[in-house]
Parts: sequence; structure tokens; C-alpha cells
Amino acid sequence: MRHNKLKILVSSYIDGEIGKHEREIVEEHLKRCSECKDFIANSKKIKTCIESIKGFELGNDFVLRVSDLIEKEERDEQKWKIVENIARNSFAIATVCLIFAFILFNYEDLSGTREIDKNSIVRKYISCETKKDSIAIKMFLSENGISKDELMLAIMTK
Amino acid sequence: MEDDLKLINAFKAGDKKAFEKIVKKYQNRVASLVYLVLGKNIDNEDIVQEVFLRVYHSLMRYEPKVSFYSWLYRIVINICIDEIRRKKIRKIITFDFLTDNIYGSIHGEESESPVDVILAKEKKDIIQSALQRISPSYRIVLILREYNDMDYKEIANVLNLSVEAVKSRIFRARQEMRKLLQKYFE
Repeated sequence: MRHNKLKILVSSYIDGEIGKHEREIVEEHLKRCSECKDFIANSKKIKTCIESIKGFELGNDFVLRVSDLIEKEERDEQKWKIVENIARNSFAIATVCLIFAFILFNYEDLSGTREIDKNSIVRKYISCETKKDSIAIKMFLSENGISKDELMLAIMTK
Repeated sequence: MEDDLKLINAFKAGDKKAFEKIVKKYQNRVASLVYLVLGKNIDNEDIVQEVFLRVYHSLMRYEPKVSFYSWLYRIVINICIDEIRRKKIRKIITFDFLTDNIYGSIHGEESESPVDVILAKEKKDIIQSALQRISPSYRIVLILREYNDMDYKEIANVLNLSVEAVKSRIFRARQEMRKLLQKYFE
């Protein structure tokens, strides 16, 4: 096995993270290799030093500070929900008012437009030079939603 | 683990006091891990708060497929990595053994002389400085192994790596630490 691969095994050996067969290989290797022996010795010193680093001790009031932060977040979230609801409702109300206003101001046009449009459609059809047999007439009437009576009236008053 | 599960289930059922107990139980471990990964930093406490805020918002989704502390440490490491990227902390050398330690306290043995206490403090600061000089990805695995005493599988789980990758990184971390501390070992 190459020495570089063996070194990684040696490192895992320090942590007891190798199998029985690999352990035998490492132990055999350590009998001959001072570099790896030094590596183990130094790694153990580093481990001892890291373990001895005193960690942080936060005060008993830390949990209170976290709780306060959470409460503040929840209060802010509530406020935003209220604002969002007001905005959403206002938008819906404004949309309904706009539609209502549109209908109100354009009612006469809307109700009269259909008649005016129908008349102009019929006049165009009558004045047109294309073939007007019964089938063509039936298709024209059904496509445009015009009744036979309306067509007859238009022809007579032309 | 069972205690943690009881607290988590209580929290999920609506008991906010259960969350406070979780914070009390893990606050110092999280703070120590943040300190080791990021070094002495004025924002360390803010980072620990951010960890527990994230825990609070994610705890409803926690499932006991992994141990709670592995899940928690994953959050800590992710936030630390974000912080490292944000501040682009690559090499920090802290030689502040001459000033007061605001965030922690070094408790010397009562039988040790003042000189021994100072030397011990100096040694710890040198180790911490060396830790801050190695690559963050190596630093994190080494700390989880040597300080938190996690096995390779647990570390792989926390960092979402393969066990082989963990083995390789720990080896590289030890190599780099050895290079930095060579003169102290002679």
C-alpha cells in the first residue's frame, strides 16, 4: 500500500475507525515508520490541546433573550398579517367598485350596443355581393345570433 | 436522546417551556462550537441566537431519523459556514492572550501557579489561532472529532459527506495543524 494511503489509515487508527485487518497493517507499518509514529504523537497532543480549550458559558439570561426575540418576531409577523389582510381586502373592494362603476357608467351603451352592432352586421351582409342562398343565410343568422325576423325587418327597411 | 425526544414532542404539542429547556441544555455546547469554528468574534452570541431561532422555526419538521444533536450541529455548522463566507474569514490570528477574555473564562487548577495558568492560556490561544488558520472545511471536521468527540459516521451525517471524505479531511486537518505547530512540538 502506498505511504500516502497508509497515512490516512494511520489517522483513522488514532480514532479507532478502522477494521481489524487494517489495524494489523497499520501496527506493522508503525514498527518501521518514524514519520507516522511522530504523526500519531503530535496528533494526540493536538487532540489534548483542543479538548482543553474551555468553551463558552452563556449566562442564565440567554434563554430569556432568545424567548424575547421569538416573541418579537411573532408580534411583527402578526402586524404584517393584519397589514396584508387590509391590503388584500382593500384591493378586492376597489376591484368590485371599479367593475360596478364601469357597468353603471356604460350600462346604456352596453345594452344598446348589441342592437346597433346587429343592424350594422345585417346591413353589411345585405349589401355584400356574395352568394346568399338559404344555407348561407342560415349560417349567417346562427353565427351572429340574429333572428330571421330581424333580418327580414332590416331588408324591408333598407 | 430520549430526553430530547420528550422535550421535542412536548414542544410540538404546544409547550413553549420545552423549547426553553432545549436552549438551556445546548446553549453552551453550541456557543463553544461557534467559538471554535469562528474564533473569538464579537458577533458570536448573535450567531448562537440565530442558531436557536432557526431551531425554533424548524423543530416542528424534525424527525428522529438522526439524533437531535446531529441535527442541531448541522444547523450550527451551516450558519457558521454562511458567516465565514459572509465575512471571508480565512486566516485569523488571535494573539490576545495578553488581554482579557471577554466571552469565556479560563479556569486554571487551584494548585497551578499563576505562571502555569498563563502558559496554559497561551497554549490554548496558540491552538485556537492555528485552528483559525487552517481551511474551514478541515477545521470543522477536526473540531467535531476532537472537541465534540463525534465518530466519523456522525460527522458525515452532520456535514452531509461520505465517511471516506471525513477520514480524508481529518487527516489533512491534522497535517496542517502539525505544520503550523511544528516548532512547539520540537
